[in-house]
Amino acid sequence: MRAGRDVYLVAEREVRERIRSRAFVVSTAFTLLLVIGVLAVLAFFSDRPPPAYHVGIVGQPSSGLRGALDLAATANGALVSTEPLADRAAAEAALRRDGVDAALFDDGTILIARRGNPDLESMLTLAVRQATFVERLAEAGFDPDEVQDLLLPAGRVQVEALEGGGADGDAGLAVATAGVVVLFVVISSYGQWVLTGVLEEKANRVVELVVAAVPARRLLAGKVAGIGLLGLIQLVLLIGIGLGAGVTLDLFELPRTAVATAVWTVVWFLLGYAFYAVIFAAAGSLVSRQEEAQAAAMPIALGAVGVYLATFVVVLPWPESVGARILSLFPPAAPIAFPARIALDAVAPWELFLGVALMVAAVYGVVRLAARVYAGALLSSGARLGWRKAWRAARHVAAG
Amino acid sequence: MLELQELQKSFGEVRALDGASLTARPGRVLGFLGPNGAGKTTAMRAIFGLVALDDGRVSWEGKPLGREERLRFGYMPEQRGLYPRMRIGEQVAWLGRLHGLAAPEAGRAAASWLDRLGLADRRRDRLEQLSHGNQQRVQLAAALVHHPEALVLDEPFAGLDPMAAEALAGIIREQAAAGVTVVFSSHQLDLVQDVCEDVAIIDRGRVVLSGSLEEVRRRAPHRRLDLALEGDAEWSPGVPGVERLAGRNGLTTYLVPAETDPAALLADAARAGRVTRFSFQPPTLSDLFREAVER
Repeated sequence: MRAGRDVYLVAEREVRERIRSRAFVVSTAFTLLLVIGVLAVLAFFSDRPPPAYHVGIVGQPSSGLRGALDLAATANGALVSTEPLADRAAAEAALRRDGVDAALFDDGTILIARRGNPDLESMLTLAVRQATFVERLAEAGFDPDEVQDLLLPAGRVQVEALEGGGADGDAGLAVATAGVVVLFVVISSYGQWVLTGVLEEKANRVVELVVAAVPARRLLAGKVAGIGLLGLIQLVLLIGIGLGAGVTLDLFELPRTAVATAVWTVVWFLLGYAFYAVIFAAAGSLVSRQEEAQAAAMPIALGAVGVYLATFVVVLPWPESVGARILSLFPPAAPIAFPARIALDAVAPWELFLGVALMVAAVYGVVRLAARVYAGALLSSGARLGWRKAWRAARHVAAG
Repeated sequence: MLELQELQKSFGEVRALDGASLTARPGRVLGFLGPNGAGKTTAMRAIFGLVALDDGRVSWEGKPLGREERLRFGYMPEQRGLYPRMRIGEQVAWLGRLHGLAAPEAGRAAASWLDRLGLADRRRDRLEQLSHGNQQRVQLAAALVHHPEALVLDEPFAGLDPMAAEALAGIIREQAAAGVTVVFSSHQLDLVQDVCEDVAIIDRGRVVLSGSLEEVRRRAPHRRLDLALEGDAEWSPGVPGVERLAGRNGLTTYLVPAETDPAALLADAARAGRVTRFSFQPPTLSDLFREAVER
């Protein structure tokens, strides 16, 4: 019970002192404003007008073509205007000078300047097929106008997907991207807070007084827990405000994966933070002066940036690739890469289980390693210690 | 009773403790004295489990000293330090809670010690807003807040002005009078001989001399004679065993065998000139230390 009380007292002090500090208030407010700002900018640019196409018509089009074009345009959320063109040469010329986006011939040919706009191609194909269909029905004796009316309700077709990618794709990617950024920022900034906190205790030499009463490992646990709680609060605020603002600004509908992603983001934050925070703590215990904080944090911060970039380059574009799978199972990268794959709905349950298991094992390993280095280095002063030296110095420290 | 028995500790090639032993008794002040690097800090850290001993035992009231008992000790490490941005009232109270006090009791004890040390109106200030001297007082409050049964102070007088040193000596004596076991270390042997009742003198990891101050001084084979003669008169002692130690400002110091009769010395000196100063007393701790380590 003593251990729990010690850890609680240390954590409580961390939370109380930091919540009062200007640095915490400012950084939290700044991050939240940043998220809201980014979402607002996205909302502004996502209000794009519907695409408008100008289509040239060569020869005598069938009577239903005009109606079919309108129908297809409506179905695609596009606007279509037409102009008659004399012949193929005129059509080609108009296409070359961008006078029209496409030309339709009365034999059913669709002429475009170059491939690359599948929306336009499919829309025109649909229109031509429908016009031909209406024409044939008319030839068979049906009234073209009635036929046209019959086709109307089919103007909008709902597509439902069994698996992700389809309708959720964009929103899923947005959530995944935001998750990667937020996780990286929160894990690395709060991890570095642990480092500076450890270093502060050493530099101010208060640590000897504290470890005379509280074993070094409990001090480490309390510090990591206290700062982690603040990180968790900030993360939950970010997720809540981010999703809330996104929905309010009509930026996205909550994708199906949103809730699961949010929950898993918190789980992976806790694992990732624990992993990085204890390494940062050990690194902080190796130096004795505030000026050395940057140098101490550098290797770890670089590692975190590395997995962050790798997640951007590999996981976000190809969440189901071998590279993404490996990254998301590799403990230092997993806390950032895994939630992204979850948001993109690209994770098999066994993978998640394996990933969490590997991560928990890795956290256990680094806690063992880092706690010993921390305990060994805590009472050293003067020159920067190496990891190995601190590991060996732990032999001289009685109560770990 | 706090006992250190045959403590051994090496850091690589360096032997910090080489069989050091000492005993501190309740209600008494033990001065743990010795030059810098003699092993005082290592021994004190060993009391708090901050150093893994190669051998030897630390015991309290006859039993091995454990974590629970240690929480009832007050500690002032050689490396002073507290949280610079934490308010001192909260800081001292927090340290009290760390040593097992409940929050309300810790708050009361912190307030009462800070009042006592003249910091009543600074309780809500951050440590870094205080002068160096006041920070030292907070450090003392931190060692005392949880009503410790034993006080272990590593170089508590270092860097104090005479007023602050006198105030600290008063608190140390008062704690001992209340039954607390007090150990403090110092490398300035003579400055603290008024404060302690018992001494343990350490050199190169071994305690070379220990006991009550009075007994240790009485047991010494020499006495210290300070003598001044009028003018530049020179005394060539006619008494056997007198050894000239040093002379400064007309005052000359001699070491003489303890059994020498002071009256005979005075009479012998008076033959050389008019005696303006004459003091015959037990050796200082520095003298004893020199004798013990023979250098």
